[in-house]
Amino acid sequence: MTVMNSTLGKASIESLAAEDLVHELIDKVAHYLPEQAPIHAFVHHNPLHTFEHLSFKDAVREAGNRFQAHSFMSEMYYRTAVNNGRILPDDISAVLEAEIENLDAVIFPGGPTRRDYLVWRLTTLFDVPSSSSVRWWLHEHSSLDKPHALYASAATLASSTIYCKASKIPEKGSLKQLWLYLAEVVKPEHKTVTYPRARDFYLARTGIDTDSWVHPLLVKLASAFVDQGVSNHALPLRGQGFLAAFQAYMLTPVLQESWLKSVKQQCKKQIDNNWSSAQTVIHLLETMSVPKEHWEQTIFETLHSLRGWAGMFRQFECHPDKLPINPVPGKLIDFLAVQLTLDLAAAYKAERESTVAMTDYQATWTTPETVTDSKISLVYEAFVSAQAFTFLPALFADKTKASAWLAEHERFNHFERSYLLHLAFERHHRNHILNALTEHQKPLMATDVCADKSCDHSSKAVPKVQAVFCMDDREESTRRHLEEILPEAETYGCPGFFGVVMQYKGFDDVHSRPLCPVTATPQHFVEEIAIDNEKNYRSKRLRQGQWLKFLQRSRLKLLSSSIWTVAMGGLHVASLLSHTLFPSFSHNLLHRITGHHHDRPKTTLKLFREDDKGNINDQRNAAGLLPGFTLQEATDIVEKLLRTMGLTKHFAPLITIIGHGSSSMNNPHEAAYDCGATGGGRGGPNARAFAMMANHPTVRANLKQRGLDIPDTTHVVGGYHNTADDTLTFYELETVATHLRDQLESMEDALLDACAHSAHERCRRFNDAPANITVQQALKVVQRHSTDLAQPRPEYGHSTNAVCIIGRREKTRNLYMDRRAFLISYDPEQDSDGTIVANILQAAGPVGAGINLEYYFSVTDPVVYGCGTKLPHNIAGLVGVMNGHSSDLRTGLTWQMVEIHEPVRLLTIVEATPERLLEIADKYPMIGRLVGNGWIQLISWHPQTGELFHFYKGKFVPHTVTATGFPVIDRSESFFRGVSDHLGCAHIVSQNPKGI
Amino acid sequence: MNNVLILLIFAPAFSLVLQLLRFFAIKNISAAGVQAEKTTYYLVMLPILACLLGVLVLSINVILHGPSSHHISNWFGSSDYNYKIIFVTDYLSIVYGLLSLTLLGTICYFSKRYLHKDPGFHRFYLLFTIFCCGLLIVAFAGILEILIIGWELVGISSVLLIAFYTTRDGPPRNALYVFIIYRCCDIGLITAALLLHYFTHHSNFELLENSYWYGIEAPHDGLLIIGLCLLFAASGKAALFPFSSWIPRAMEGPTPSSAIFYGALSVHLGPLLLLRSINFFAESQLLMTLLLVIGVLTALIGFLSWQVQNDIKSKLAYGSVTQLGIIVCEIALGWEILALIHVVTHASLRALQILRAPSLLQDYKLINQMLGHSLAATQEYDHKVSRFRQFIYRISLERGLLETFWKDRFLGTLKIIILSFDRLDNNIAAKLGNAAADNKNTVKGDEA
Repeated sequence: MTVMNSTLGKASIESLAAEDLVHELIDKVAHYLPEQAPIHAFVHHNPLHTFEHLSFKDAVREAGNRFQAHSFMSEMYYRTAVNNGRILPDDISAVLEAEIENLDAVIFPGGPTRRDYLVWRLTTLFDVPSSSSVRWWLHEHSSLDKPHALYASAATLASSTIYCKASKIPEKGSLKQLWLYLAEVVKPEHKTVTYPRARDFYLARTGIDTDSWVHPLLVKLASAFVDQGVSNHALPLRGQGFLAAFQAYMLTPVLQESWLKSVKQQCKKQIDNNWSSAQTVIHLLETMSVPKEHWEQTIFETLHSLRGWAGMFRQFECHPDKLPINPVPGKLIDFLAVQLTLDLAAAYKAERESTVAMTDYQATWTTPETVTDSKISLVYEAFVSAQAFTFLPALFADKTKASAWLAEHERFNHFERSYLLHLAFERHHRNHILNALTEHQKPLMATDVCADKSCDHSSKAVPKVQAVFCMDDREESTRRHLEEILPEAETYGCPGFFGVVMQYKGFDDVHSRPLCPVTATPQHFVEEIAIDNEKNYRSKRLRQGQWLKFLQRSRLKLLSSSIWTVAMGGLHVASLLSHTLFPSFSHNLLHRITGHHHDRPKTTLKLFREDDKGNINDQRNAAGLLPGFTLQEATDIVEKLLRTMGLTKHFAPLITIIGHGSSSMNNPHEAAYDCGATGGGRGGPNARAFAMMANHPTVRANLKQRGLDIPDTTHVVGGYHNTADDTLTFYELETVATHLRDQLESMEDALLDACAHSAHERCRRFNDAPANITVQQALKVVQRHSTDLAQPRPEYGHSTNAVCIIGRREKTRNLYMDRRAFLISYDPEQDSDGTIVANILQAAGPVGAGINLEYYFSVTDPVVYGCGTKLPHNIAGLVGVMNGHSSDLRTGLTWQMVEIHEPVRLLTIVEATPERLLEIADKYPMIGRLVGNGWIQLISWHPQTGELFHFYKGKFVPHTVTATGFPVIDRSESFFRGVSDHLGCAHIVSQNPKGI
Repeated sequence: MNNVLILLIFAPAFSLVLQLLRFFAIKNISAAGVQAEKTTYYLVMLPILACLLGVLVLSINVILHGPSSHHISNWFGSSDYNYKIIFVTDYLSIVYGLLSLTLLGTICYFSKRYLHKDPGFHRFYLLFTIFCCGLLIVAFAGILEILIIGWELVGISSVLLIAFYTTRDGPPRNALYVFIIYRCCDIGLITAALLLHYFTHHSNFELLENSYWYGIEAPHDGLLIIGLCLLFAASGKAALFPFSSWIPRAMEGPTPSSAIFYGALSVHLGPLLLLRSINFFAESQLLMTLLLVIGVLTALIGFLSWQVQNDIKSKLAYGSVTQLGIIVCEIALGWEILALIHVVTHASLRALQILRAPSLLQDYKLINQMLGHSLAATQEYDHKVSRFRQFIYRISLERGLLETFWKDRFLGTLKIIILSFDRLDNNIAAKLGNAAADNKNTVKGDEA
């Protein structure tokens, strides 16, 4: 029963041919379907991407209405935040000041001001019954006889005559009088409603939900259609599209439920008339007498009753390349035609089972029904708050006063209140971070000055090691720990594809996949190839594979499967026990048996398409991709990244580039834990490719010409960080020159140590790790988390993301940020015209905002935007997960991924002047949209003065430091140890920096 | 031995009582945190371990001294008719006991991590304990009535676990479906007990000819009818033909509960009952043939459905159905020991498979990598599809049409009959009402 504003004008609806109209409407409605790819290629994105042209508030309001979704946390959540000091009274009053006009106007003459009312209302929670249960509620709680528990809870002006004496209990009958006065002025609201679907009509009239008949069948057929390899036999004729396969299926003569007879007739009619899907849709819409101008609404509501499946059909249609195996010709319009066919038959069934005729439904289009909302729950709310303010009942004998009081409640409804509370929550967080940043710059403590100076000093000189990580918030702790362990180290952050945009095929992989942000399209194909021992390895793997295949095939036969079951019985018992009781052990054992890692040949990347003599191979492969990079392209990539990060001089003898990914067991959402900057892939190969490029002598020579003088003694090492079990792998270590061996070893040690400490820090969030856990034990815990079948939380992923800092690391070095910040290195002093920062914002802005908003919406509404608890999840057709055996495909993140997430819009702090940022926002519409519409919070951090400006309502407002005195700690561990909840910022002042 | 048996039954029951008391003692236990979870876990795990030890002791006893029956006490009775509480220790009960407790212990350990922080954590373990109680009672029961008690406990805990997630309407609806089938088939068991008392005046189990285990003695009179009742009861629990359609619907709860209930233990109580009543099938050719037919049909329908299921849990569910059909065939053919081995291996295999069902994507990737190409397991039919293939496909996807038959034809017909009675009733009531009204009118008229 939603009301939609049609953007297609009436004229265009009339003028378009019906078929074109249907196609156009489907394209339009499809924008509102979830845009999640098949689950193996999960990429974080903003679930409300379609609404990004609206301001954040309008967008969540509209999306909330359309999808029946929550857009903020519950008021209870914010209330708890108030109690825990995560929202201060200051925050609330500042938000009110900024957001609400006429704050100090009185609500009615002599009454409290709007500010008084809101301050009380935002911090006070009470249950408000729905309109239909108010009467019962009043009776049950004797609300008209005794005062509410909140009686006299609001601050009032005792001198005014309109108030009762707070201490005095209201007289008998006065509450009843108050109720009557308020109830008298409320005007019931009359709305005309149409029912976009016959299902809605029957549900409202008879309580019969026809979807409970249609959905199981439709889900069964849809998953049979999209199936990528779970079943052994595909849906017959699926190559001809969903509608054709459906018609053939329905016309098969078997025993079928009686209501499906009309489906059969309908299918026969469709085939006889040789209708296209669009014609079928038109026919069905016309049969239900839906007027043309309501088609959009009907199509929208129909598809949204199974939005996950409909969205998947759309994905099949638009991105057939993303399908794991079979490019099945799924089309949204086919899905719609099938769904409407079934809906119509189900409506006829409902007609037979009830006394309400279909003609009644058809009549609602011409004579819409009127529904009345008595709004009595609003009266209840006003009634309780009037008691809180201890108004004299007689006050509301004046009807204007009573209606003013009610109007105030109506205006600040649940949505508005939640929005204000959320702003207060964000403000508190923002101020905390900005204060910490400001204070971190000040040479507060003598030791700090000393430490900073020694730091600066060492960075001016040549640092021992430079380590480049992904911007990912999970690497924040790794970097911090590395700097603590090895003060002579410098760290950098950038999007984890390291500028290498490629289509990559690993040595073991069957298919290639893009390793770059989703916004980029790779032009270069890079393959991992073996140097030695390939034949042996391949044949061994093939033997094992064939053995596995044989086992799988043997399970395909009726008898052999039983023999297999019985014969291998002992093995199953042993395997079951060891997998549950000793997960890490059996995981390692399995690896040893399959010998996967031992015999794996040495590999290298087929990275360049130019040989040493400068011959370039420009032959594109079947997919239209170039076989690798030229040295010129490689030089461009290396130069661009180094310049972007501001790493242009003082090169350390060893530079490591570390990509990341995550491995876990029993986890269909594994891809959601991988690197977002590589489009949900693992960034190791990108790091490896970058290192190979940067080490290439010709590339070095080219770079020298361009003013980037990397010493010949400097070596770049690529690496891969598994963020689930915190292990590190390095690539091509044998190419490191002998004189660097010692340094390499110490660097490896320091990095491994940093990962271990990072694991230690992560363990504070896991309940199965004891509070006094040691670093070594922590490594074991995280390893178990990533190998255990029973572990639904291999890691917490981006759960703590909240901040994004684009700027020099010196300024944030030694600041404890609780793994909450995306850190991107950028040196404003080397970016005179602002092109670099614009590029960074363009690349990192959507990635960061996508991750942040996916988490935001998955936690605020786990039913609509998230996919709920993962415990009953069931993989359907290898493309997604359902709840139980038959449900809609669930999109978004699981509850176990987001349960500790605190939703705030990404606080993006950029080391650039406000003027420059405004310029960029003007120039690049995508950034302008994200910032201007409030999808991220933008902060300008003045590179010279260090002042901070908050972008608010179109302009930058200076931030005033409100709090000082952040904790000073000697190392991260002493701060996080034993704490499992949220932690704020702290300064780390190393007492005795230990070198290696 | 009696003490050990009492321990077996009472350890889980005691834990059950303690857990219930904790529900009363701690308000809002789901918010009580990790420590409360740990306590609950130990409350469940320790009795299981104790029972496991007990069953090991019993097994040694059985191996050394052979099967025996133990009269624990009298239940109730009059002078000449006594209901005794009897438990039996034989190869069947110790195999089932060991299998159940091993799997229960494993899943108990598994679920501690898997369900951690779930609001239903404590409820899950409560139902789990009820299930454990029921299983042990069924395995060791020495008379049919005791077995029925365990049978019911297993049934009710299974149904409540299907309805574990009450915030969506799917789980309760599916739980109701399973509940109805369970209850209908329980009628068979209760009727069998009544008839046994009618024909033989007792329902104690006797040592069978194979001397491995105890079973229901087959009476001369009423052999067929009692056998049918037992078969009816077993086929509901074990999802045999024609009741197979409930099994995918049972996959609504958390993964470990699906693994243990519908993959491993609950469904295998059907074969247990059949093994206990093996005499009936040995005595009656007709019953044996019927059992064989049911077994073959179950295996066939299970196999056909298994081939085309496209979500992993339904697929595994129909894998179970297929194997259960074959197990039943083995029983019908008199290969009881093979059937028993099959039960044990199948239960472990299926539990493992369901537990790692969410790893499907990784498993596919691994096997593809090993082979070096995509394992295109799916057979495509794009252009020429024979009517027969289309027909078989539809029957398979609709899971042997059993659900259509029960829900639409059987219940539909029943509904029509009931509704026509309702109409008849209304008509008669209306007529009587009219007559009464007429009477009143005439009385009034007289008074006037």
